Amino acid sequence: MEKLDFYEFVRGPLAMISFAVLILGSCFRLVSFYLKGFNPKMLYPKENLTNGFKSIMFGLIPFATRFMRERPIFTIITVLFHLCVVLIPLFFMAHIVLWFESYGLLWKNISNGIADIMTLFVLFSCIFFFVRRLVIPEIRMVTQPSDFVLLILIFISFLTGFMAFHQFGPYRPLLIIHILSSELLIAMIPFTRLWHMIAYPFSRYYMGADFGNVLKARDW
Amino acid sequence: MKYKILIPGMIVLCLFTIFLQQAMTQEETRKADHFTLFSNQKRPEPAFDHTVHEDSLGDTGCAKCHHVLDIEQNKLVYTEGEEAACSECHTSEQSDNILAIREASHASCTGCHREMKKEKKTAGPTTCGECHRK
Repeated sequence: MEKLDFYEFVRGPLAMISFAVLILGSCFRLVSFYLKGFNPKMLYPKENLTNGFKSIMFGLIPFATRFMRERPIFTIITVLFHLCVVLIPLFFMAHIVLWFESYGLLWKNISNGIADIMTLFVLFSCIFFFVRRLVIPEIRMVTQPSDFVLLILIFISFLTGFMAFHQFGPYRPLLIIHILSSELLIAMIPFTRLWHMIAYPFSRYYMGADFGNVLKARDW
Repeated sequence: MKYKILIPGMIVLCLFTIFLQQAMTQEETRKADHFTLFSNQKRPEPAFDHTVHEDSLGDTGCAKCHHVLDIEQNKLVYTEGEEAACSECHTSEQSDNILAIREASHASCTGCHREMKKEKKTAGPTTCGECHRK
């Protein structure tokens, strides 16, 4: 049998599988959300639209909540981290080229130099978050293994991507590991804490409305 | 024993190890001999060997790459004897319906290479760094 071209495998079929898992998993979780609402034991947040939306909005603006103001360094690092970790997969030229090769899609890209800086910052942030999670007791006590696994995976993905781009090290293996780890992360979105990307508005709205109506307090 | 975590974890670990072994035993292409941080904007230019393509595509293969736009038929056609270099029409920016050289090259070069690999034939590079070698 022909030796399977592993690069073509991870670039083609495996990529489609990971996106399929992402989409189907997301649909599954959203439908479960909805169906859980029919459970008679479910506590509905009392109607308080303003506090719900305010909570969502304040949570998105840096330094808008007391929590963020009390931890300025962490806030800066995490805001920039999220910016970089979202912009690079979407707007880095090499990724756009792959979408063009497969489906003829094309959109604007960020420059490679900026992507370099952003990648290095993501690597630094991953180490920062890892150490923080081990050192600070109130975080360490609520940490689960998956928290570390995700940090490690993101670190591996960005590190191998960076090395592959600069062709530093064995090119093909690094490229394949980069694609593999990234696909793993994509597939894991609906099933781990990464789901907060989608779930954020729902959770924050619930918290805001509950605090607002029941406790008559703000949750930001 | 937390089997709920252990079993999926072990499965993922096994799969990752298998994939890692496959990844590490790929044919090595080339190690870079220098390392540049914050490199310049563009990737290195690919070294294109026309002779290799001539030999593998044969006499009837010129039309695979060389084309001109026939305005009446609104199609890309090949006229023998009028083969031009890609960069004569495909410049660094897209103009009207003429793709930029980057998109045109990726569509034409890697497109063909990937097709051939799918048909299990030996083909040129399909990954970024194997064409854009430092």
